[in-house]
Amino acid sequence: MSVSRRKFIGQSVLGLAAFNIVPRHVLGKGYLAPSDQLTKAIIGTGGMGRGHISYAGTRVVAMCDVDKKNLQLGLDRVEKGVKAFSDYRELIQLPEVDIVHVATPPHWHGIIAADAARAGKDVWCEKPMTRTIGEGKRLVEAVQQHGRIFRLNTWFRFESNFYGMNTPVKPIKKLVDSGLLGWPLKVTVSKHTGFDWKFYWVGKTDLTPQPVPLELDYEMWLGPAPYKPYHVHRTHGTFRGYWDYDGGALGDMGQHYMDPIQYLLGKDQTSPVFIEVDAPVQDKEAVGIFNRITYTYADGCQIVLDGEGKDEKVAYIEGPKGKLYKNFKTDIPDLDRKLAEFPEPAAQQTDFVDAVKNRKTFALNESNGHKSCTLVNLGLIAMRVHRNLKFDPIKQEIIGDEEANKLMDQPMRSPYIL
Amino acid sequence: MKNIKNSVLLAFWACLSFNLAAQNPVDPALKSRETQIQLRKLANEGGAEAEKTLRNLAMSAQGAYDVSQATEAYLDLLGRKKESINTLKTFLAEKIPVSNQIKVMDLIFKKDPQAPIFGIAQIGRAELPLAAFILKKILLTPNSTLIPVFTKTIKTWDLEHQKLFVDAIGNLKASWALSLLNLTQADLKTSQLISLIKVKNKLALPEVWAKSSTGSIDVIALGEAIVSLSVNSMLEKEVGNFSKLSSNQQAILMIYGSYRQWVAVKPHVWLAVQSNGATRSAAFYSLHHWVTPQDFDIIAGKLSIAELPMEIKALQACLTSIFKAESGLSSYVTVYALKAAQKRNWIPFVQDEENLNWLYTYVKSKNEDALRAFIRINSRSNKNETQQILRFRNALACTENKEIRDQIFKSLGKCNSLSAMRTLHSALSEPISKNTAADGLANLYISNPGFQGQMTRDWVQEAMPHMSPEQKDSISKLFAKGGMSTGFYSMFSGQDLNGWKGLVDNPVKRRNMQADTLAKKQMKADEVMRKGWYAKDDELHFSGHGENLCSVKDYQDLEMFVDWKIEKDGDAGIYLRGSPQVQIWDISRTNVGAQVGSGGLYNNTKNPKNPSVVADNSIDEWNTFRIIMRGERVTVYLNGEKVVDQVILENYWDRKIPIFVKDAIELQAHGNHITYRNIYVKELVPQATYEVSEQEKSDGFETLFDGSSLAKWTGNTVDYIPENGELAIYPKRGGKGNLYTVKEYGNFHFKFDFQLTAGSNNGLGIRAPLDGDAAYVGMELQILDNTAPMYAKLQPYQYHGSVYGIMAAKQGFLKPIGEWNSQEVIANGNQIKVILNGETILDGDIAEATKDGIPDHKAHPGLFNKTGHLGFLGHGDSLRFRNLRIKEISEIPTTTKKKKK
Repeated sequence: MSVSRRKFIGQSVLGLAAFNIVPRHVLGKGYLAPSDQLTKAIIGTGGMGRGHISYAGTRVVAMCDVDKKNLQLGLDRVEKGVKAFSDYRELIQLPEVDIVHVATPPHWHGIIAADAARAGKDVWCEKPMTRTIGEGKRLVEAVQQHGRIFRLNTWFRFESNFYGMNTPVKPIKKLVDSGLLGWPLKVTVSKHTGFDWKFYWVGKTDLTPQPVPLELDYEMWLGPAPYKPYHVHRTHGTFRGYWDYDGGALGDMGQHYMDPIQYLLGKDQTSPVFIEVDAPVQDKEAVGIFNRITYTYADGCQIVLDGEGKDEKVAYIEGPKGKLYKNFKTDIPDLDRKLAEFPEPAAQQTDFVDAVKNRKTFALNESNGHKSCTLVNLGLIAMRVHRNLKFDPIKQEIIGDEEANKLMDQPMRSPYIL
Repeated sequence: MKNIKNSVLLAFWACLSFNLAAQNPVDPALKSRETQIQLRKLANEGGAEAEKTLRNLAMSAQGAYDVSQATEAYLDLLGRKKESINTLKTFLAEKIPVSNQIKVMDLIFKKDPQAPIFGIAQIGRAELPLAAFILKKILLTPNSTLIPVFTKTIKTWDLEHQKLFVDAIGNLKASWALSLLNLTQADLKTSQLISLIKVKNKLALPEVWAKSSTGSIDVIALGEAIVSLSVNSMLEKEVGNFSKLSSNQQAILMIYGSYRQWVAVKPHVWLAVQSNGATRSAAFYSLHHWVTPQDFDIIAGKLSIAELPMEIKALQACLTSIFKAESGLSSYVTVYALKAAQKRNWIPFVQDEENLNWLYTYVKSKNEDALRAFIRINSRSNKNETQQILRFRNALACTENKEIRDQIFKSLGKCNSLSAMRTLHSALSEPISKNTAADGLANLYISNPGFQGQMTRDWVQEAMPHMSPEQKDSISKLFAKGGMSTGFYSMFSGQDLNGWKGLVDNPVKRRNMQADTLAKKQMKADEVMRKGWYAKDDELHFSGHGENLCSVKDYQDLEMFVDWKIEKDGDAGIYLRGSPQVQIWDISRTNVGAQVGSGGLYNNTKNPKNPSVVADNSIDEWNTFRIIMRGERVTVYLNGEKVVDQVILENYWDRKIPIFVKDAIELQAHGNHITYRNIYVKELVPQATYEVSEQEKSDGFETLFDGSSLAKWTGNTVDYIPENGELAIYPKRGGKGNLYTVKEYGNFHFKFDFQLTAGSNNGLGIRAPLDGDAAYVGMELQILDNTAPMYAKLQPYQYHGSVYGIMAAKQGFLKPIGEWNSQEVIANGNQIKVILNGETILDGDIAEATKDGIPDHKAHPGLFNKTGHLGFLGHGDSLRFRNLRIKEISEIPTTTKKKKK
């Protein structure tokens, strides 16, 4: 353990406290000396991992991939001296790594993130957080029992313009909290509210097995997933089309779209009680499309995932007293002036570097991340069993549906465990 | 049963360790996963033996993570075991990593009702993550009995742990522990007040408000925390009381009131922004709530001088919201940015080329925002591609950021130049830019046939493996066509002085030297060269001591590119055909006339020597020359501007003769440090020399113009220039007057071809002096497009072939416009004969023609000159001549001639 650097970080906290007349954002992102930067390791250097190399306040020191080509492509993008691994378990033993960035396909997220937490690393994990609800539960446990800081990497609940709304989520949250729209609310995710579903993530069936490329350790790529003969379409870039690894359009964008909604509706501690599905019967291996998935919470709030986009005039948020449309348009007259009278949404912990250094829970963490990923996974289960589900948010169980409950926690291929 | 199973597992473990040692061929990654599962099973079974085994394994891993996850399994076992609190505490005291300390602490909390008291005692000496974990465990469950425990220990914690505690109370909403906040140090006041707000919300406001009036507080952080509280009449009332509040409270009120859009706050905010008071920063922070497009000038003015990062950020936020409301205002950005004292504050907004220069100063000091803006603007700035490329290369020299470099390479792929191609070629070695560079290179190669040659072909060949399939395809097709010329090649390898030699005397002396003397002198010269010139990082340096650097090869007609860079007071030049020079100098040296700029033909005395514009870049920055030499004429582009346009390079070494046909290219040495790079040359096929036919030669004809040199001519050599072996007239090149033969001719037979353009007018002067209007002080034989409508009303003696104003020629024998006519002129005493395209159109005696008075009633004092120059008498029109040849004849009695006619 590089004690001296950690000591230095500790001292810098003191420094901040002593000069607390200086606003904190003055010393904000981008002003960190290299020695004060957190160190990061990237596991999975495919397109996603390579796209997340440079973040303010962090520095990549190690990389890992089971595909030698991808690993090299990743190494090409960083300075010399970055260590390379093919087995992430060796990487997470490095004492100099502060943060592990999990950018593998989703079927590996749970195991790797949990192992990283056990190894004392803070975790930055790509969405969707875990491939099943059961893996999510155990990942939350591992993170919390080891006191780790966890960040799920979608960010719309706290920054950036939120797709079709053309504004960050904050003013929407303010509007929802103000009560001007009334309660309960119905939120519709549709192309007409500014959210496209990428239905091209559809798997192919009847694939003829192909030889495994030399550079790929396919055994390790599959990991906990059931063994299936190799075909290029199952892996890099197109794995989203297969239940074994991800969940198609919903797996891809579901958590991006629904996590901010969960925040808007104040549902970070709970889950819906009823899930209605309208989708074609799904193939056993390949993910297909859905027409409509509706989540209903106990208080009547609803999230509608509209895959068809038939209703062009649909509101993004619909309440008994008002509606909010794409581009933050609303039927409430003089909204700006009215909104100014209401409190701002409570500040969130949005600086991950600060969260790691001062052990603060990040805005989107293992706990609320698991809840929004549960939304994704409940939708996927409903699609697969092709019927509506009743859910118990406290026990985290599907009520009266053995087959669906089995999909909540799927067996892993030996010898992988979480 | 249980025991048996357990012992089987233990036996398995022993066996496994043995197998590992015996180099089991099983995949080690899978093996260690099996081990992990076995250890977990062992932990599940429990028992003293298992505990001992797992503890040993955990201790040998020093309580840290290893692939078998032994520590995890050991803690698993302890977690399942009933009586394990003391074991856990012992393990905690071992030197285990903090994340496992936390796991142990987690188990202690699960098992031991007294854990909170134990935990509090640990906090002060715990590493930050453990302390944070303990606080979370304790503060989430209200427990008033712990208050006295905390009270005793808090004061023993350092500031860091106290701050952790204060923040945790707020973040975990631990209302039961609020009273403990008072025990922490006064330095933590901001954190204390924020935690108070987080826990008690609205109810905290009176207390926070009162306490915030004094002390050193981060008012912005506190203000931000208060805005999340719902509207409060207390704060609204305080606005009326504004002037009586403490500055902390004023600041908080500004922030809160601005969020609420309380208009009463607005004047206070604007006032504080103008002041130097304690509320200034809060006012800046709130300002963006109040600005409208009408405030643009004030905000822009303030941004131009702001120095505090916080204020700069606030003003930039104001501008962003102004531009959002009225996008048209962004057109004033450049005006403000250029005169701003703090130009860099404008970096996020600038879009225009005018800003490139000042941006570059920040680029050089590694300001990444400036660099991005610089590239963004430069990518769109394609008016002068040479400068655009130089700027991209400058930017490359300033950054190692691979993404930014890739972006630059992408843009360079659209810049049609060798320099861009060369830069892309070297980018092939940058892993993430390989593909970008390869595609750019292919694109430039395909779209610039002028740059296709052996060198660029090799570059493209090298890039082939990294190209997109489409590019690869089009390149292969192009390569398959074959027929590649040498094209441009590099005169400088980048690593050594291959291809160069030292300077021996001058071309005239060298030509007269014995071969062995020359060889001896050359050896010495080469030695001198190696002292003064060296290659470094793809650049060619002259140290300031030594002689010119000469190309080993001699060059005739050529096109070359060279980048150069000089220091203050620098002086250098490029010699062509061994002769000085295309000038390079520091334009600030006005004492020697350097203000005219670089690129001129410095040693010209008769022909223009100065460049037409100053196109130099700053000292210590790169410049690009493109030099074209055809025949005796030189064209120079400096940084994309044409500064010398087909000017004759005079022979400095022997002023009597034209420039040598062929000699070395030299880089001039001039006593200061010079750097060159990118030296590319393409040898042009020289214009075939025009010679008179054998028949004519034996008849006594000689050529007046060999197709490239005007050595036999004098006067307007600016507008009259050799082109494709012809003598072309471009009347707008800035020359003056007529072009005359150097020699004088009395009686002669002159043959030439000419090509007219519509309405063109010129004339052949004969027996003319160099001054005056040749039509009168000599004689002019009209050259004219008779067919042009504007000449319909001329006098007969004004049409083509006529002796102007004296004798009319026959009309109707000119070929159509665009075709070449051939003409002969025989001047024999007073007898003048003109044969056009084989037809004699004039044959008359000038004395005869004027015996009854001059036809045009004007004075022709030179009509009866015995001798004089031959000349082309321009009238501002463009036309061409070729095959000019002449034979001097002795006068033949005219009477016979006349009878003949």
